[in-house]
Amino acid sequence: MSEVTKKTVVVTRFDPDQDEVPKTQSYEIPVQSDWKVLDALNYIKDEVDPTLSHRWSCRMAVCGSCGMMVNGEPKLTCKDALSNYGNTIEVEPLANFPVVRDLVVELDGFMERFKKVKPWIIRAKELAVEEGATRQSPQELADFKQWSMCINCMLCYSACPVVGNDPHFLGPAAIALGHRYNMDSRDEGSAERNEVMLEEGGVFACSYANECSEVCPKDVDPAAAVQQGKALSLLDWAKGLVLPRGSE
Amino acid sequence: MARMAHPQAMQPAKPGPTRTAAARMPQKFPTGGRYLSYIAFGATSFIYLYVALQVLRMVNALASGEAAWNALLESLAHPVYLAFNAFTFLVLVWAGWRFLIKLSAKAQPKKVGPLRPPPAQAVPPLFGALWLAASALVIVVLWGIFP
Repeated sequence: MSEVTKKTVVVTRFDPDQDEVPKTQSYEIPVQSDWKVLDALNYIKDEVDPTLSHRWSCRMAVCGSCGMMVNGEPKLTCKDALSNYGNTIEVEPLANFPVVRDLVVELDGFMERFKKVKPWIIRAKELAVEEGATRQSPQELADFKQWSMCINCMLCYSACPVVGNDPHFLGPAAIALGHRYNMDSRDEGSAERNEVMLEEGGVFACSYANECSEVCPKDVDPAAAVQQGKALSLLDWAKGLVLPRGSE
Repeated sequence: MARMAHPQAMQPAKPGPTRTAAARMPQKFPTGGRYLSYIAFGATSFIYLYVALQVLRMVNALASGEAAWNALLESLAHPVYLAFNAFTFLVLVWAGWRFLIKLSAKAQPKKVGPLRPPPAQAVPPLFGALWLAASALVIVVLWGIFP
């Protein structure tokens, strides 16, 4: 049986029907030593204040729903142990996102950025079924696997200073996802994607804070994807200047 | 309280049915925690700008004749300018370290051809040692030890 102590959780509250701006509310609750931050929020919701709104689902750092700012750092609250903090913990909605209610942020802007980078395999000509599957070697898989581990938790967006200052910026996860498909040996759509990468708000909007890679809970390295994306999209652009249309 | 983000930051193209509270920047931005290193990294651009202006000044002096060129060389030999040069070099080493080595360790390939990579913990110090060796070589060459 784990030890029970008391902690104060200071939560940002915002009711769009009543509040002009978000405010904070403190809850002193009994917590167990093995709890995560999400357990504390769920305790508040279940036992203290049922009006508290927050997103969560899998509780095993897979779904990416429960990202929040904990003591000013973007964290997956289901993975972040309460024991990492002192007696007072401050929980806020993810930075750089409009807030819908309490700890719930607006996701549509994020989803729109994802669509822009065409995160699917683009083929010049689809293989017929009788031609079999498109094969891929372990080395070819290793070329992009790192970026396919993203769970879309948006922590990278809330840590990135460019996201908060430049509304056109595609953002770390979207660029990393586009880069993931550009590096996929089965894909033939890098020219299309690189057009998006070179637009305003594309890879060159990144000023290399590297916060995205620092805060990623799945050890993905979006900053590296952005820097590699800069080099590859520039190369693609330069090739387009000197080579005849349609050549590789 | 964190400062406000851009009013349109992460807003969808069409506003949703619910009124939202404006986005805020991360609480520690711009001078708290790791953001300080980022701001310092960005601030090094002023030095590059200054050096670029100096290059233009040199080109202008070259075009203006021998007297102008000699006067420029004399001004560059000033101790304050030499100290600035040393500072610029340290800045370049630090910026290169941050950009090329420290921040890219996570994205190193798992395998390079048939070679087994060193343990992940050893990669940043190895790259660091290489970078320092290259920097030392540049210092030695600039010092004039090699003809």
